[in-house]
Amino acid sequence: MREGISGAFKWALVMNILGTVMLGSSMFCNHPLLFMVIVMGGVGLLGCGFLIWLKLVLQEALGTTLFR
Amino acid sequence: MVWLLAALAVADVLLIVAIIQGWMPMGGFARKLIGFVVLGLFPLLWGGAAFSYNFNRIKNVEFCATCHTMSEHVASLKIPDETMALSALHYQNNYVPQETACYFCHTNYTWFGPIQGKMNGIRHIYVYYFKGPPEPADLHIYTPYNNRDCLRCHGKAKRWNTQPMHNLRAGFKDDILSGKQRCLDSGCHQDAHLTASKIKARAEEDW
Repeated sequence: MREGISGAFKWALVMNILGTVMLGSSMFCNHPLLFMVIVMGGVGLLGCGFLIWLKLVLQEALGTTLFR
Repeated sequence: MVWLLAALAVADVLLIVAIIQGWMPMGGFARKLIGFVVLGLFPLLWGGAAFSYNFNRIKNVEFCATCHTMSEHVASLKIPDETMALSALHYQNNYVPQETACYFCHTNYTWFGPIQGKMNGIRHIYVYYFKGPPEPADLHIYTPYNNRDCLRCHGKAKRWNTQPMHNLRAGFKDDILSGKQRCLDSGCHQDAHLTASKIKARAEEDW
């Protein structure tokens, strides 16, 4: 049921994928600059995905829109 | 460990692609459960484990050696320890863990020491790319090496305390303990790393 996925939820999923790929590839990277960039990017994207999900959960629990 | 983390990452990505593509039913409870696992638990547990793995991996000498500027310093770990160069002496006699020798000596033993070490790593990258890579002979640490980092291991050792040079005069040992007299000063333990550049420069001086 693709239509069941909201825009924000989809964004959270996409950020999770990108963050996972970046942080996962950093485990095999030995180039210092590239390593730093992909670790920071990966952690940032995973964190953003997590925060969007948290916002959706809180919205559903509280029955209100947060950070409009 | 790394392959387990990689397998979990692939599983996570496949699961998310299946959700987005609508290969899986996503009604009510299933949506919440998958959302909780994929977006709630996974970033915290897997992300934490992957970050921790990386945090430990970059402590290894091999990672320091990936920067060509450090090659002479890394090579100096393996010169004959009879030269009494501190790095070779500590590395070859396993006074510091061989796998993480760079990190062991170049991280402050304070509460935020490891974080400060990582910040220094970022500073190395800034210096390398924005100020140009320094010649191995010109490499130096940003702040003078702190006696505290030597004395953490040596300070309470009988061998260090009874060493005649450390009791050269009254109050000398106190000067070392307070940092007034630096361990790495000329005439004491001046050769932290005996690099090829340093050996060459000394040979030219002697000539």
